[in-house]
Amino acid sequence: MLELFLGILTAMGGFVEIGELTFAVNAGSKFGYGLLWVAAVGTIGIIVYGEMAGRVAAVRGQPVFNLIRERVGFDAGLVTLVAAVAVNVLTCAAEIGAIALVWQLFVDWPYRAWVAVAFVFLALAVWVLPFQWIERVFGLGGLLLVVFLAVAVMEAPDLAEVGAAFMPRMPALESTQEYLLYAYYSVALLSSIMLPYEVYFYSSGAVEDRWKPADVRRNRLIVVLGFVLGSLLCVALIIVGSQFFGPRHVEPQLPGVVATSAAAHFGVAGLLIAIGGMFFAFAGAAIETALSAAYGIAQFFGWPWGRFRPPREASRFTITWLAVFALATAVILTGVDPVSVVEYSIVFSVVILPLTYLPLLLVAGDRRIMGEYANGPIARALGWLYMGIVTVAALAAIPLLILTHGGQG
Amino acid sequence: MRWHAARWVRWLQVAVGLSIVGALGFATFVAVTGKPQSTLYITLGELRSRAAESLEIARGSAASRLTPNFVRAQAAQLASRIASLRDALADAETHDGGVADARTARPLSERLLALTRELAERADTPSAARPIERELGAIVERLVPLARSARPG
Amino acid sequence: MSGASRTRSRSAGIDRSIHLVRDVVDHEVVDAHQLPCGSVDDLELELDPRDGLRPVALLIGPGAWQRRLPSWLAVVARWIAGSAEARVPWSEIAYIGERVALRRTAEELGLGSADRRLGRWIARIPGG
Repeated sequence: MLELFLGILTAMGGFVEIGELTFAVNAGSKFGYGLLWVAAVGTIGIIVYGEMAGRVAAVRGQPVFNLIRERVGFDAGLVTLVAAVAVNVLTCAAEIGAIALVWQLFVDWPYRAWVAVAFVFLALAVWVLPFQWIERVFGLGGLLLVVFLAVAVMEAPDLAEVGAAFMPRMPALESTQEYLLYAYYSVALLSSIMLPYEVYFYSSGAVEDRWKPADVRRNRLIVVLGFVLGSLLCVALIIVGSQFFGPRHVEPQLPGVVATSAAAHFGVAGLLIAIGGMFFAFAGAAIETALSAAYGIAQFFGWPWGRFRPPREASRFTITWLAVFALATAVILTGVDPVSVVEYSIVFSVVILPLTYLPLLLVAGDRRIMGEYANGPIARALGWLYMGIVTVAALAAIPLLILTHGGQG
Repeated sequence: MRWHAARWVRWLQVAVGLSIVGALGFATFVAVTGKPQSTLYITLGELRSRAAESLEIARGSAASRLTPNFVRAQAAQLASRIASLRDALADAETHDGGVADARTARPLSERLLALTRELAERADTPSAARPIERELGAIVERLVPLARSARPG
Repeated sequence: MSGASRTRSRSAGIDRSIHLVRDVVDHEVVDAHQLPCGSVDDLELELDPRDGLRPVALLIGPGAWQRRLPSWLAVVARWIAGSAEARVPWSEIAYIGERVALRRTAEELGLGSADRRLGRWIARIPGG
């Protein structure tokens, strides 16, 4: 029972990372409640695919990338793997940059110094901590972001207006350029909620935690409750963007600026809680992206993997996640603007999304493999509906990025 | 069943590749043939936002709801971004034949940069933030309509 | 490999018709201790006058999967991953289920040597 409770809270705390934080607040500031329905659509999507990934891992004892190779073959699978690893490295870099920005707010060292510290911290955390601890510490720490839920409440939004905004509709905007920007934000927000590494990590985690077919129901509860609660944080950030930052003409790019909304209502305590929550959320995401990449490569090539094995017994897997941290750190150390890295990581994530979801959907629905646990009518209908949605988003993402001058307008 | 999956995934990869190539091609085509759209409105919008953010930091500092360390570091992070925007405006002033908006905004960005740096330097004395807050407020009030009018459409 | 989709094998543990492409190729290989030791990257087949094409050995390693890539990519892959290849005779298979399970350990069969080599280095680091 406690396990279930912790699992739900961990899923909730791990929902937000730098991309989602930035895009949600900006979505609110630019478009008011106009993108709330996208947040809802994205949340249902990640629930659908998270549930499938967990179910497949529990029933077959196979995480996602084993399945991709079996299902799709070596060549097409290799392209998917390379793309997924590249996007994971980019996302990891974004999180490391964000961690450095956040630490800088406490102790005034140069940004690059903090980046190096972040690398050492993350590598040590994964090296030393057992898997469950990694999940729990950073997942539960991310719950500090609940302070933004409190901020949203304090802003006293019109609940009827908020509720109405969950119905998919296009707001009335002033120019073609604004419609393009709205479309871009829809795709980006969707992507930031349905980030592919979350699914890879969740499915490998299920195998790390030794799930069995009996855990299928527990998987469903964790996914539904955890992700719905997590989406409340996303909704809160949109509301904060709309009610706090919009009227102040702020479209924040830096995490510290977002934290000023917590300070405005709750003083220094609010500020510290907000920044603390951000640190755990970003660090958790950095770790998940690095491990996801390592899981993917090791599983695709059939290497021993997992944090349940001591590092010397899964040596290539260990070297891989260390290499991902190192590569991500190197990307950030080139001096590239971390805000831009965040933007590109979100856009490229949605571009590869259909490539990993399709094999998962096919395996989860295959009665020969899953037996009685294969996709029922609801999972099948939603699975294919979202396959269509993410494919459209994937194809539109790069054109929209270019047409909106890199998402700026 | 398995070969269907390989084929679909391959089609998806091709489709995604095409969308990227197509978009890049379109962007290049527009850049080369058509009149390049001025992106000054983007710079002005960002400047307005940074100004409002500095204002928010100043407010927080004056009300003692932000730690001095935070004020110093956040103002410094903002200052470096404002400096880049200032450079972009100086560029627009000279290159685009002195677009009126750029000419108006650049001195504002200079003042904004100076104020933000001052905010960082005097982070330990909250009372020092109050006059800075007032002047930042005035700058924001000038930048809001400027950024809005520069938007296309 | 296209003609040999189905095959019968009389080795112990495999006495049903298996679909080589679907159930064997690209599936994970585990040894007697359930340790992953690669994937089935390629198959060695032989032409038997009575049974047609039948599988003789599993081929595991970069050398094996590089053959499945277009030639320019294979060169890059060879530069990154080398071209080691292990040959596991069909008789070494204990059973074919979710994964291809072998009778003996990875070490005895010459699989996963890269992991073991690296593992000796990592074991020197505290916590490894």
